[in-house]
Parts: sequence; C-alpha cells; structure tokens
Amino acid sequence: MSKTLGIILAIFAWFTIQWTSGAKADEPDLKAAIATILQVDKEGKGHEAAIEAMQVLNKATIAQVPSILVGMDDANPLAMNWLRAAIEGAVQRGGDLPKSELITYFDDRSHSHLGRLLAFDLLTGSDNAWASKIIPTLIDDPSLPLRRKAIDHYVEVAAKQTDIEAIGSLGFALANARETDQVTKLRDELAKRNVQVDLSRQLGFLPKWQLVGPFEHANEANFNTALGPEIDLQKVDLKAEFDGKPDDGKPRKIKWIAYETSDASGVVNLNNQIGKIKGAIAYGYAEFKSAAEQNVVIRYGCINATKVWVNGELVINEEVYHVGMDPDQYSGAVMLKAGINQIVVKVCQNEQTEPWAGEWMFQVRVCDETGKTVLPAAEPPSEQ
Amino acid sequence: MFRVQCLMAVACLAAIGIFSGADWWQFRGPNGTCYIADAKIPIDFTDAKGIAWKVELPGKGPSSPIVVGNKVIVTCSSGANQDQLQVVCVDATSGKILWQQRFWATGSCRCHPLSANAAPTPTTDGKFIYAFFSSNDLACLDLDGNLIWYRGFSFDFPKARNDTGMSSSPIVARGLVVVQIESQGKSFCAAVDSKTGETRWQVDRPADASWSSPMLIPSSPNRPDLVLLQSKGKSSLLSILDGKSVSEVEGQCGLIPSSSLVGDRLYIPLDGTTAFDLDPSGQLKKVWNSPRLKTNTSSLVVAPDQILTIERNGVLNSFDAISGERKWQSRLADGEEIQGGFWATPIMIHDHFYFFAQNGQARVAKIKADGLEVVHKFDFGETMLGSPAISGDAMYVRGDKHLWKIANAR
Repeated sequence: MSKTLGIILAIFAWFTIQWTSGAKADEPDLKAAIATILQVDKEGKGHEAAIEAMQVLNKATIAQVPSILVGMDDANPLAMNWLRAAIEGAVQRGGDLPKSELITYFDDRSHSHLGRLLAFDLLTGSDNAWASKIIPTLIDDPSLPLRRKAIDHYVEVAAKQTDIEAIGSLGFALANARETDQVTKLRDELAKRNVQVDLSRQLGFLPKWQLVGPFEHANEANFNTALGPEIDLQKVDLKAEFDGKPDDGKPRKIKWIAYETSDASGVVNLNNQIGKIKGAIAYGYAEFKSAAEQNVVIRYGCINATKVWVNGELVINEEVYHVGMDPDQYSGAVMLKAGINQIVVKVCQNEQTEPWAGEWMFQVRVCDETGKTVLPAAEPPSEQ
Repeated sequence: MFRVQCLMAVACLAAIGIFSGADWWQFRGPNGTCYIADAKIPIDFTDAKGIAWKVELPGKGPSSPIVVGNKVIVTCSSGANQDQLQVVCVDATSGKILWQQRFWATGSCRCHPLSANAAPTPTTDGKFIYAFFSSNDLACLDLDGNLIWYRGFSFDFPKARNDTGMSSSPIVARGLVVVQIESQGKSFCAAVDSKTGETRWQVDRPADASWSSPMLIPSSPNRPDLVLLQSKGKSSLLSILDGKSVSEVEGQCGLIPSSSLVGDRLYIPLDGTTAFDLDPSGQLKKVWNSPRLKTNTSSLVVAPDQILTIERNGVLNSFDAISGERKWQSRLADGEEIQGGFWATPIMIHDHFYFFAQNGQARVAKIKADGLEVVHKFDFGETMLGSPAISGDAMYVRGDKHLWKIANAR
C-alpha cells in the first residue's frame, strides 16, 4: 500500500513540476526568447539558438500574445514567421483573448504592419462588432493589407447607395487606394456611374517615351553588353544614330522615335513600335521632372529580360524571359534629384519560338514606398 | 517473456517501415508510381456513400495532401496577393481540423491565376512536417503544429523566383530536406538539416525554370541515397550526403512531370520517357526510350505491367512497362464535360484508374486489355489540380476549397 502511495505521490510531483515549470513561459524567459528569435537571419543564421527559444515560445499563453506582437516591431520577415507561429499556437491552445491589450496594440499605428494585421485577425475572430466599427477607419492605414479592407468596405457601401452618394464613397476610396487591382476596380465602379478615371495617370504610369531599336541580341548575347545609349548613360543623345541589328544581313541604322502610349496601364508595346523582331534589344528613354529631391520607388513590369537606370544608376536588373508581366512585378528604390531625372530601360527579346513568347513590352510607374503615385512636377496637383 | 517478444516484434516491424507503409508521406507517395495494389477505395462514391467526410479549407492550392499516422496534412494559400500561407492538420477519422499554422510569404507570391502559392506538396519523416511553398518558404513543424524552424530561400536569394509560380515538392531523407529551386534568375538545389534548417549543401543548377520535383533513390550497399533532379537539358543524380554529382544524362527533360522508381528501374520524362536501370555505382543504363510516352503536366502512373498517362486534353495512353511500346490509346468520350483538362497525376488502384480534371470532374475507369471503361463519374464542383493521397483504404482528394476523404463506412 505504501509503495502504491509513493508512486502516486511521485506522479503528482512530476505533474506539478511540469505544470509550474514547463506549461507556460515566464515573462523574462519570453522576452529572452523573443530577443533570440530576432537574431534569425538569412541562410539559417541564428537557428540553433532560435530552436531552443521556440521551446519557450511554443508554450506561450494567450495572455502573452501582446508581448510577442510587440516583439514583431524589430523582426525581419523570417523572424516574423517564427513569432507568428508562437502566437498562432498560443491562440489555438485556448483561453481568453486579451482584447483590451490587443486593441491598444492595434490602435498604435507605429507598430509592425503585419503584427497589427495579425492583431486585427485575432480581434475580428472574436468580435465582429469591433471589426465593423474599425474597418472604415483603416482607409489611410499605413498597413496596406488593413487599408485594403477599408477600400473593399467602401465599394460594398457604394453598392447600396444612390449614384451621387456612391461616387463620393468610391472617389474617397480611390484617393486612398494603393494597390493596382483595387484602383482598377474603383475605376470600373466609377465608370458604371459615368465618372471616367484616367487609370494611367491615377497609377502614375509614364506614357511618353523615346524608343530606339532593334539592337543585336542573337543567342541572348547582349544582356550585359552596353549598346547604343547604354554606352554613356550620363549623356543620352536623342539625336544620335546607331548601328542596329542587321536586317536580313544588311546594315541597319536606327534612330530614336518619340512615342506616347495610350494604354491605360502604360504598356509600351515594342512589337508595334520597333517591330516583331526576335533576338533584339530596344531602349526606352523618359524624363521625370521632380519638384524636389525625393525618395521614390520605380515600379516596373516587363515580360522580357530587362534593366532600368535612373540618372545612370542601375535600379532593376532582371535577366528573365517570358514569365508574365504585371505593373509592380519589379521595383527599385531611388533618390530623385530636383529637376529632370533621366530614366532608361533596356528591353531584351530572346528567340523563343513558343506562341506565348512573342511579346516585347514594358510599363513603368513612379510611387512612394506605400504605392502612392508620384506625379511629375509639371503635372497639375493631384487629389491624392 | 511473451510480452517482451511481442514488443520486439513491434519494434522490428516499425523499423522496417511496416507501420508507415499505410502512410503517404510525400508528393505522389512512395517512389512516385501512383500505383497501389491493394487499397479498397470505393469506386462508385457519391455524396451519399463512399465519402467519409468533407472539410472546408482556408485557402487554395494545387498541392497534394500527405498522411502521417491519423493526420492528414494539407497546405493552402490565400490573400489578395497569395501571401498568406497555411498548413492545416485534419484528423483522418473525423475530418476535424486539429490545428492550423499560418505564415507570411517572404518571397515572390506571383503565380499563374490558376495556380497558388501552395503548389508544392509538403513532406514528412514521420516526426516533423516540412511545408514548402512557391514563394520558397519552408516551414518545419512538429505533428502538433509547433514551429521548429522556418527558412525563406527567396529572402536569402531574391532572384530565386518564377512569376508563373513554382511547384517543386521537397523530399526528406538521411536527416536532410532537399529543395529544388530552379528559375531563370537564380537556380539551385539545397539540402538543409531537418533538425535545424541550416544549409548542409547547395549546388547551382541550370538557370531555367523547372517545376518538377526531386526524387529520392534509396541507397544500396555500394552507393548512398541519391537525389534525381530534372532540369532543362539534363537529368542529374546527386549524392544526398553532399550534393556531388554521381551521374547525368542529357536530353529534352520534362520540366513539369516528375520521375518514378520501381526497384532499380527509373522512368524519367526525358526525350518522351526513358527507362533506365541503375547500376550499383549509381550510373544510369538506358533500357528503352519512347518518344511518344510523353505527358504535359501530370506524371506517369507506373503499374507492374503497364505505364499509364493522361494528357491535358483527356487522351489516355497505356505503354508496356517492359518494352515502352504503346498498348492502346483512348480518348474520354465525355471530353466536353472536362473543361480545362487534366493537371493532376491520376491514381491507379489495382485495376481501376482514378483521374481528376481541373473543373472538379472525377472519373473512375476499369482498365481492360485494349483500353478502359469509365465506370463512375463524380463532380467535386471546384477547381482541382492536386493529386490525391492514399492511406489504408482511404483516398484524400483536395480541391481549391475543400478536402475530401473517399472511403467506405466502417
């Protein structure tokens, strides 16, 4: 009998120790674990210590979720996912969501955009009324996924309004929309109500170009070879004449041609302007007048191998052919100078013979880091 | 004494993998043959019978389910930009979702609208799950959904991306998780430590897109485990231990369908299909080549006596597995119902062929000497790109919105 009692007591003691020491993460341990996760970086850096730290974080309680969310403020995209997994686990283990702390965290827009998005998802899951109240206020949120929700909300609202009211709602949403699919949707909704939006201008596409080509690119040989205007990008001479890709073995002289695209998405179709030529390179040149020195992002779509320079500085370099194209496919941050800025694109067409490999085109727009259009200084002031 | 013997017997069975034999741990199951001799899967399943459960998924994906023990694991992706990654664990008996983990993609999420970030099928070593995505994010979770480690290969190498999407599924063996990331911008094959996620080796691959999956070739006394890779212009065998090349064959390699292994015979989508025997040192000896044995997207189904293929347009072919000669060709009589064609690799269970069209139309056909006879039709009613998983007498089928268990009631 005493032996049985001893076993029972031992089991009880073991469970007590497990419960008190291992069942949840203490706050100092949690902070140390978060700090360790923040050291995770490329190519598995910091993994050994982080895996140890996850032993703590994988025991976090739902009450500790706000602390982990705050940790996301300093996390790189990899560490964000380690921390997110800890939060997802804590929530699924159950307990009462610390709503008040989560709302305080969410309301502070200086916190991590993705952390706030996760807080929003957690709060929405438990309180639809809160979500309904908060979504319209997210229209200018710095977190674009949260802003998306507000834009969608105003589209839904407009569907139930009179045309006059709807135009107001949709126009308000348009002024705050940052993502191309939503801007396009708003353009379409406004068009249904007889309001025309210049999509190209709204999204900041550059319509006016000087084009020159074709240069030789047989066997994809010249992606990294400076040809024509690329030889001196600081002094692009729009009156220059170049030796182009031979035409049926005969020498070909080529010059710049002025072109303004009317495409709503700013697409410059080189097959139409230069010709349906395989194994060829074309250059495009555009000027962008900036009122002041400012940081912008060049957002660029191109279905061909391509490079982009701004004032001679290489900002995009993608030797990739025929894998699709969309307006924000590639991007590069650049500091514009006050006055005229020179943008040069190099668009390389290869010799693939598949029916879908005939396209030769590009599109460029200029934005701030959130995707807000930056228009040239000469343009009238924007309503954005 | 008897109990000790029983325990030893159990341990031995577990060691040789008998217990795991009922599981489906990777894309296209063991050896990638998609042929099961003895599962008792319902043929005439309908909503009323033969479907044990149906569970709603939080996102879409062409990836296949995997089964480990009584857990069905499936990956999904969602969001306006396909940047929300999910790993979902479903109880195989009840269909109840046991847990979900969610992540944010750290690489490019661009893909063809038909596809999704959750295109690669996850894999498992029985203790951990390795979930891989088109954005080249790789998460290691335990079977309770706890994160062990997380890698982002496109975060490491931003040019490792394909804007039509990537789909190569990882494999795990010898304590290494192998991923094949081949694109025009940055192309490589890497093995990471399954316990830590740290890179053990990484080798460059041809700078061109490949959507096919690496295949494990188990070791023999004279060679280590090998990894078969299909790339533009060649197929390569690497040692899993260090990534060093063991042998290579050049030719027009299929870049979407993957290879199959039966014993020491390899069927590689190379110049149509080429059958090779693997010698003890890991060299490939060509047995036959069949230029006509070619698939667009789905992989071969390799049964003991024949190889079956389905083309995107619903044309079915049977080839002799010994000679590579075509036995018969058949076209689905009801092709007009099969809009979008076939992407998923079918499954052959004994003498019945199960195939799944993009629009959710499923067909079960009995294989005959000179063709096949469709014996059952079912409409799942949603986009279906992933191949099914088989475990025991159950088939798990995933669409863009749901996961189904096809099994007879117990």
